[in-house]
Amino acid sequence: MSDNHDEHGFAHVMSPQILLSVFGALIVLTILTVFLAGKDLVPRELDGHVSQKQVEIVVSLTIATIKGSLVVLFFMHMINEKPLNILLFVFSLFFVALFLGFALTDTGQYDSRIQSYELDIIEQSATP
Amino acid sequence: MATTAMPAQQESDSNSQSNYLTCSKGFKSWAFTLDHKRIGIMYLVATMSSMFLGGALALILRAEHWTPGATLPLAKIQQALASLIPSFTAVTTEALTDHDVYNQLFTLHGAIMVFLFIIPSIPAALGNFVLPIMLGAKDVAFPRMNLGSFYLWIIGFLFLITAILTTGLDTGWTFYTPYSTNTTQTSVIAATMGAFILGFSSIFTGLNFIVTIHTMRPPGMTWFRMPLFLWSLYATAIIQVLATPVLGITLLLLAAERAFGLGIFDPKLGGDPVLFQHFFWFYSHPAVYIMILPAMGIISELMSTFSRKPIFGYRFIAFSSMAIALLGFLVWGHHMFTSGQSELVTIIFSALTFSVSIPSAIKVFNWLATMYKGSISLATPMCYALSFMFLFTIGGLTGLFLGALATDIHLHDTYFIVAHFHYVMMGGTLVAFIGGLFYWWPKMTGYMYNEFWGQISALIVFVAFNLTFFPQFVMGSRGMPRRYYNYLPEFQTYHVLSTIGAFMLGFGLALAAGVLITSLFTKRKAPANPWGSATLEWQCSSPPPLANFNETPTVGDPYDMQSVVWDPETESFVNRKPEQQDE
Amino acid sequence: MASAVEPHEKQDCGHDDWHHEPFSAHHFDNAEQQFDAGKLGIWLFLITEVLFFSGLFCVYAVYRVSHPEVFEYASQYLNKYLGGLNTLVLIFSSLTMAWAVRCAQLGQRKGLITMLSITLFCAALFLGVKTFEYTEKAHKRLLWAGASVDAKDIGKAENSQVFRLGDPNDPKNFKDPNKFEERMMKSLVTIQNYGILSLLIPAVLIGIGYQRNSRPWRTTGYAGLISIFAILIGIFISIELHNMQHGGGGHGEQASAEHDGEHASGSHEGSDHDSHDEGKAHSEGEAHAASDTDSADHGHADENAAPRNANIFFSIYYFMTGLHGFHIIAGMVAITWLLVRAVESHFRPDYFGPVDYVGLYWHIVDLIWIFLFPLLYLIGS
Repeated sequence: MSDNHDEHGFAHVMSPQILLSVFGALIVLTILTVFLAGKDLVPRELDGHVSQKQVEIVVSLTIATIKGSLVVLFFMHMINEKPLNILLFVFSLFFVALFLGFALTDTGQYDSRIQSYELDIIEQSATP
Repeated sequence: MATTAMPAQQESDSNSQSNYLTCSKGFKSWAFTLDHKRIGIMYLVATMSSMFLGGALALILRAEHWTPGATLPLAKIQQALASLIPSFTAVTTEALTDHDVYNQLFTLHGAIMVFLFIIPSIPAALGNFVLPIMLGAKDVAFPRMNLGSFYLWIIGFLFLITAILTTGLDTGWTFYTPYSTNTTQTSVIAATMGAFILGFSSIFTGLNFIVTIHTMRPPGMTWFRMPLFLWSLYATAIIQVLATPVLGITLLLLAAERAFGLGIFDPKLGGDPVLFQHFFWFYSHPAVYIMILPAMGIISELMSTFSRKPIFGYRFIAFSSMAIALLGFLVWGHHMFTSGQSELVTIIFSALTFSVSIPSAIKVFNWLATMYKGSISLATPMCYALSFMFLFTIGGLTGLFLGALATDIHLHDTYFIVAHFHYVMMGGTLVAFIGGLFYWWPKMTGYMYNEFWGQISALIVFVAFNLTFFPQFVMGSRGMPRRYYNYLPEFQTYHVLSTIGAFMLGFGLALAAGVLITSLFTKRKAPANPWGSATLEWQCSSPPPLANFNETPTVGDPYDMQSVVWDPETESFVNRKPEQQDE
Repeated sequence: MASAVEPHEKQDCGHDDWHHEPFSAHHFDNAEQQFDAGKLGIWLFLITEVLFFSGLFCVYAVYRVSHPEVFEYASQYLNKYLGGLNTLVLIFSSLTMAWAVRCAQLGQRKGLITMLSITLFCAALFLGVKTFEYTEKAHKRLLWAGASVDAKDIGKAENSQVFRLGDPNDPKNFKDPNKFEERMMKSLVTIQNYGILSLLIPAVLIGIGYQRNSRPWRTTGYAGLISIFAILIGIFISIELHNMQHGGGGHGEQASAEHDGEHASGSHEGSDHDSHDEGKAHSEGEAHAASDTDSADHGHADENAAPRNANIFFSIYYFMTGLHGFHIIAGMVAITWLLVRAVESHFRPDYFGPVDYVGLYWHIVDLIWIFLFPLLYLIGS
């Protein structure tokens, strides 16, 4: 590659079409996620149901993940990146998952005990 | 010996006159140097000073345990010292008891040793000096970041010293909440900010090493021609980059918790102190491998060189370094067995903990196999390497007792665990560090040290180390809790033995330092390759020229001991291949 | 434009000549090695950033799971339209940053300077909106967990238990909601005034630059002007947006019961004019109701009592957005540095590394916001 000094193979130029269409997609997705967040609130009667909340979490995080992937792939040029750098980035996400996974598993396990203990304290302080 | 070496030096006389130490002079040429070798030397001086500071604190602690109850008037000593510094007395309002001072002493001993000495010692001091030369590169990838990392270390050091000089620190080096956020009156924020900054220093070193190893290898230096020390530094660097940011955020949260009452780790504001321990150990357990992995790398070099045999199981050792680095991320919960962590997670972490012993044992067996039928030379570095083998094995095996759930409940927070991690951190890392220092000292300074006194120092360190810490295993298993100012009279024998050992150990380490420093004054010139090692750093002159190599080094098998032969004329080992070509 | 073209503009930049080029580091063999090393380095740095923030995402996840009621209650106090506006601003700045990299790769100096300036403008705009949000919350006493408690009593469970969030209808917190709005607006206007004064700092820089005939100084000054100007515009826009939603004229003559997203989305989907008037009328009618009792049509009258430890949400909110804001500021410094170098014509098709590296950093800051936005503003609203 070093023969070609004008292009310098290490520069991957993104075309304006790609940049603009990615931008457009990001804008649309942002508006969509704000719109959906408002939408989900309309049936107030369903508010107590956990499933509704979970749907909301899944939807907005999915949209966020799609947006994030677009940014990483195109704005950050990962689509043209060396395999090593991609590997490293994905690898780091694995460690984030590990961290969150263990911490959540553990707190999820002992949380009920804390809650019941707190309830006891509230009751005790309320009775006298 | 020195005089006979002179004619041999003459051919490279022009080189030796312009080595990295002599090429420029003055304070500025060091303070603003971008040369990885000079930065390594500065790190060496800085970390060794911290070690002696931390060691002095340890000796005070041990002296205090000479008798049950009060032995030393710690509070009076502290006040006497405080009166020397005017600002100190202004801050310290209420008189401390001996117990308070004791708590501060062990905290500072731990914090200084962990953050200022062990973590940067091998990677940042020896690694910085050796890595690019071993790799055949001119420098690390980002020399300015390298220098920045050193200055971050200095700033972090100043923060920790500020914490000591104002109100001290008595949380233990682990900064557990809620004691650190709500209870203690000592300067937690200064200390955590110091550790935070030191963390970034460590990240920059690790980042630099990864990039250097990936992009700066010269032609012919394939991954599997890299010396094992580089593999271990690479594995270390991965941990530094992946784990240290979590320490950073943990310490920031802790400081914010203490300063503003963030509530995240404070149970009284709805927070969760066990979560703090998860955060802390997500970094600090892998950090244990930041400490030990480079030491293992040094041992791989020493074993092969001083057995004059190719390393046994090169790929196994290389991959076991990577395996330790990765498995090290899966076991942090074993520090929290008694913290209120849930049973499920405790069991998982206990099981995973045992997996770390597999790659560690692979290394130990490979080192043993390397020595088998080797032509073993008991030079000082090898004496330290053999001490390492013995001490690390004890440290590692007692780690299994602690990883086992049931025994850990009994042994948790006793002297057993103190002895365990000192066997690994001190008997492992520190001993390997000194061995590596003796090994590369001729390359760094250009002077040979006194072999006899070096070996004596190794012997004293080995004996004194066991005398110090073996009794702690016994009293720990009998229930002597750690971090206690006082103890029951039945433990006195063990404590006295331990204290005697500690002072001997201090003497041994001072002797080792003395042997090395004396060599700077006796000025016995070192040949380019005094040990007959086949790695690249021995191909350049001692000390190396500024650009590391005056001519492009020949990259070959790093452990092909047949490629170097003793040349009596130069009193050095030389590469065999050019000679054969001449013939 | 390129008045001072660097004298190193050689066409024959072969490998042997590489070491004589202006920004070549001596220890690399060629430009590509230097670029690759920098690229790997910045990716590793981004990984440390990801893990750095992962701690906060972990805190978020843990409390989200264990205290869902806190998040549902407290996130109503975040204005998702301001958050959405900031998201759009950051996405746009990401576009211009990516475009700046493209310009640098193609050697388009003018385009590069333009794109970097726009990116800097957007970054500062983001900070302006954030300034408004923080100020508003501070006045409503929506603070982190320990803030409401007397320093001596930190850690006393009773205090955190009885503490109620800064609900404007809670007489314990606010005697007079009108006054509160007024004070908020006053302080923001003060910020704006002082902000205009702070334009003097870059002006001085520019002055020094002209006096010394130093272009880097002038460029830095202009970058400062852009930043401060954009921060002020950000504050202004947020005040307007806030007033639009709450129907007030913006200077405290209206009572402003806390409107959540549901209300705003219901009545302000139309054009600016419509929604302004409509909201105004609506809110005026409501003002009386708000004075004696909770406005019934909001449906969360019963939820006004904050759940236990509700301030943990704001601890997380301030810490996450604050750290993110710090990264924005660091990015602005880096972009200013790029801008100075771009004006000096340092970047060429074979040397654009720094633009690329700062660009990657900027995108990761954007990326983190893309996740922070739904987590804090949208979920549970």
